[in-house]
Amino acid sequence: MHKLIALIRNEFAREFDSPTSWVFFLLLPLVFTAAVGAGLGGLGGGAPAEPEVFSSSIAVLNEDAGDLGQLLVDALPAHDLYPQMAAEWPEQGMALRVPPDFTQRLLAGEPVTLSARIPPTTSSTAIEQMLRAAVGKLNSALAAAQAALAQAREAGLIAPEREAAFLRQVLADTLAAAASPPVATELRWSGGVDLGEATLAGATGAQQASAGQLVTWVQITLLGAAEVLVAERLMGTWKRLLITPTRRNTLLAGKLFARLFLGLVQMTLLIGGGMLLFRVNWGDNLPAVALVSLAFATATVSLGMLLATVVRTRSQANSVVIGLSMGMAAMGGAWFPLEITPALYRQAVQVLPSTWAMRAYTNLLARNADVQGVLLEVGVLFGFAVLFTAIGALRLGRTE
Amino acid sequence: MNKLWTLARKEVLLAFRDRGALISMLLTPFLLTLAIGAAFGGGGDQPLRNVPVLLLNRDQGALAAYVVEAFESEQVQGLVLAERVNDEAQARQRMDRDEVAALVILPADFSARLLAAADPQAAADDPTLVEVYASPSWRIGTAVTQAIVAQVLEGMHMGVRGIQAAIGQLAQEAAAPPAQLAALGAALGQTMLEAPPPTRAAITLEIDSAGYRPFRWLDYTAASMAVLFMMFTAMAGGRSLLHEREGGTLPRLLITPNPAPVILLGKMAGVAATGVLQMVILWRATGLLGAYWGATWQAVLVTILALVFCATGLGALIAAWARTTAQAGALGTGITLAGAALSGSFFPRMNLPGWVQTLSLLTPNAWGIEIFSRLQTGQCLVDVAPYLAGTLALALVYYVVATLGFRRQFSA
Repeated sequence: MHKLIALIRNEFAREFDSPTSWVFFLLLPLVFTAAVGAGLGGLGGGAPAEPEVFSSSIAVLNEDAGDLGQLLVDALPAHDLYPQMAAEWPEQGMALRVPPDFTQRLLAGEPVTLSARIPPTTSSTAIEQMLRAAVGKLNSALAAAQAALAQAREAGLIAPEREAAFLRQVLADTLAAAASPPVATELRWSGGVDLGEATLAGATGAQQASAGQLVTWVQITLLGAAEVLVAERLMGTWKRLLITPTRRNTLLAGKLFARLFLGLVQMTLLIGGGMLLFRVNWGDNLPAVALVSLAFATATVSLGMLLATVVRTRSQANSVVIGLSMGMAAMGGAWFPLEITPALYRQAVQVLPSTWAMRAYTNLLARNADVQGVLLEVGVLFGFAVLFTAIGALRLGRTE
Repeated sequence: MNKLWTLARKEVLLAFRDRGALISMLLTPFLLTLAIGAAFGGGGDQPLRNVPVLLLNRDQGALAAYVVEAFESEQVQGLVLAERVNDEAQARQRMDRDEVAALVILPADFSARLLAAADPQAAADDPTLVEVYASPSWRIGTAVTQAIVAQVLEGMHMGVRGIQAAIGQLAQEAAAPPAQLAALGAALGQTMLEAPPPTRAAITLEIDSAGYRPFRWLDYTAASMAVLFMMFTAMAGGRSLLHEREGGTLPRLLITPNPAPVILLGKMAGVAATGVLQMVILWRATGLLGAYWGATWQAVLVTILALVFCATGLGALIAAWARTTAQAGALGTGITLAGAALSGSFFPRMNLPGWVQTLSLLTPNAWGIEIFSRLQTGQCLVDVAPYLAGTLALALVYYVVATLGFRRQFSA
């Protein structure tokens, strides 16, 4: 036991022999969490986050001879599009043109086409959706108003000179009524989830980022066991250690447990940092969080040991560790939710420990799961650990 | 010039003969792009597919059926996979097992409340609720389901209130007796129910977006991963100078007839050439997967050259001011990764707050992602010229600071 503790302490001392180690260990993961959380939205949200509303201005050339064109223009701000009236068609930039026969055609019940120009920018898709939503809303109101006008005209209930005013009034009343619907939607979460008023149901951007970056960065630390073992092998110090009275398994355990504890310390700091700095709510079941973290760390450090038997140089080890960490994180759902991927893809990535870790963390964050709620994921992760350790130990014995 | 070329060629050969370097330069970004491309079905304009949704219709009227039909319409085909159910308990159990994204329950008084004309304001104050019972594991699928329900409800509500507004207007003008108006209202309602939604669109929108391409995850990831890993290469290249100094080969080079600036330029040129080759290989390789980088090869190549020039400048700056290889390594990797996080290497840059996007322009990552994103939406070389100028200006700053550092090093 003394030897084991000494080996672990030695690894910790080597890991933190320079201040820059703390940059990679703690600072960068927190920076990543903040940035990814901001990118996904919901940064700083333990309370329901108000999404940043995207808005844009648009030049409008209203050539309509009647007044229904103005009704369309007045409806744009409700969809975060702010019209800037233009006297002529602008040479460049975003623009919308209302044709001269807009009112005339609508009164006649004929279709009419609006022309728009949306220059290629990174927000073109969003602006197109906003414009289509504004037009769609007007279409819904128009459908009823035109049908009413047609029937009233047929029944002789309305004079021709009154038709435009009638259509305009009906449209205006309908659009005004849109703000007070008698039927609305209510969202409830399954599984008896009761997250309280202060918590945004479902994982927020910050929660997704916190869990995802935890998985990404801790994998780098834990898989780094491969670099440590390869370095010892290449420098010849592993052989020297083997001829000491300390047993081989103790030496190996010392190296691996040191990495495991490093990973657990990092996880604790990142979880704590997420809670304090970004108000990420890790739920009421910290024992469940600890259990998942232990299982994931054990699986990953075992994989690191297995990798050490595959790579030959430190450079290779470094490249493989970075690549595998990022790759497994990306594919396992640490960078984006897996629900947006094809079903076959979701099945295929079940072979990755990171997938099961993200599943468990999502359950903890989004459902406030307890230990029982994550037992399946914890079991699978420990299973990975056993498998990787068995294969790694076998290969390590052969290479020696 | 021969000496410069020889030194540069040496750097390129060293980089491309190192298996570990090849893995991180080429294999890792390519595989990441492949993985993310596979995750988003190769494209990205509609990454979400076949969201499983259950529909339970309890409505005693006829209008809720239109909500159900909306989920089965051609417009959402491929996006949602709707299934009609009758057993609420069983449906909720399937929800609890995460088999489906959401269960939409249409209440018994759906039609009645929608058609209520007596007191619309009272109806609005106490709306009847369509329950969307959702799984926390399907956050995005839930949002899509809610959006579809909301859109259909809006259309139906507008239709009903439109009819009510029209009848009300005619009643105000005393255009006809109440009985006739009531009959007109009923006829209008029937017309609205019978007319299929697509033919009701009176206003169509034609968008002129010549050359405009929608956002695709594959395109974005291909470029952003290439930029990220090129940055690693540039930082490693800068570090190699310190490595030579520590190893004693740099002092030996300096006592040769070659002037110090030629040696430095040769090394930096080699690093730059490696970076350019790396990005060109990734550009063409990801192109085989279907990734789009820009309309013209000239625009992409000019961007690559400007970006590599800038990244190499940052690598030189770090090498000029760092004391040891380890210090340079830590700084270079730290700046690269922090820059990647703040620039949008892992998700669309446009989603980041404005101040983060501005701050990130201190790094080559941000300029690279900004320019490639614009090229990928259809902009041309002329459109991105200001951003290329920004990249080169940043490069100039890096090289000036690096030169000061190297002068200090070599004069010491």
